[in-house]
Amino acid sequence: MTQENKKSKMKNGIAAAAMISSMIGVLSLSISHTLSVLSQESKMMIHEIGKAWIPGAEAIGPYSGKETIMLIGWGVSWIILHYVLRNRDVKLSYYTIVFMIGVGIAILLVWTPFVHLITNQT
Amino acid sequence: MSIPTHKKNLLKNSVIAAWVILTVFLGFVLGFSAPWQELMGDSPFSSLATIHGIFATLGVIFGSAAGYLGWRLLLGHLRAYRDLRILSTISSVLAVLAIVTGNWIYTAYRGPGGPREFFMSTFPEIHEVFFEFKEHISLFPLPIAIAATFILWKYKDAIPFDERLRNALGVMIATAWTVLMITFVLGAAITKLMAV
Repeated sequence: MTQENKKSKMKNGIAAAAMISSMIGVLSLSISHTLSVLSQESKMMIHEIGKAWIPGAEAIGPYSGKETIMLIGWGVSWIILHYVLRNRDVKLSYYTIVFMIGVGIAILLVWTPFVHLITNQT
Repeated sequence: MSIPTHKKNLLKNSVIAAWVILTVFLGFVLGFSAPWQELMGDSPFSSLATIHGIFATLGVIFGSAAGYLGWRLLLGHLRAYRDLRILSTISSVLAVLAIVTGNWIYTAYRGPGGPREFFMSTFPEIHEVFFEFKEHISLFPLPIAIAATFILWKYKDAIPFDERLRNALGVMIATAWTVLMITFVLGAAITKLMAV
């Protein structure tokens, strides 16, 4: 098999799905964190999600729910994107840029001074 | 005058054997004579914290090696693809273990008389800015490292010939390494201020 054949045999959509789903996972985490800062009701609801399955979730608070939301966001989006993109050859550079921007936003959304700025908290 | 191959091998094996024997000997002497309990402290969570610290440190060691190979991959200079696959897999497993054990000691961090209570009453910014950032960003390497590892194995034959794949992987590995280092440095700094 030639080098070019090896390259063209497998579509890169599967790689794009894996990359973008990991970004969705960290964005799910950071958005759930921002929501938990926004209101007490959200925080309690997120904690309930964690308490549903994580042992000792009572002691670690809403963090357990945020972990759960990250895993769900990551896992579900990976399954969906995998089946949507698996037979496609995509422009992976665009997906890489989207990944970088998404992870950058996720980092900002777990940085307390930025979260306080956008939620009007001092 | 060149040394025959069998003599070269004998020399190499002798050096390795001496190194192993010396390491095991020193390991036993130091391991059994050191006051480990004093070093770990008397907290009921000291063992768990030590296990978490070991996984985190190993994660940084393997993650940094993978990060270096990822950088070489991004530049298009990498030849050791197999090494990167193995290091990335180990880093992913260590990320899982560090997060699970981190959850265990987070209980102590949030518990009565724990570091969170201490920081909130003395320097609330330490908890509200640095620890909150560390606790959340520490989860980032999990999906990113596992996704990168998946791609490395799935496309192992295509990666050497596909620059776009290499770029994507290089970015993912660099991102995972960066957040891993932020997590480790903040974790160490906070532990220095007050351990669980």
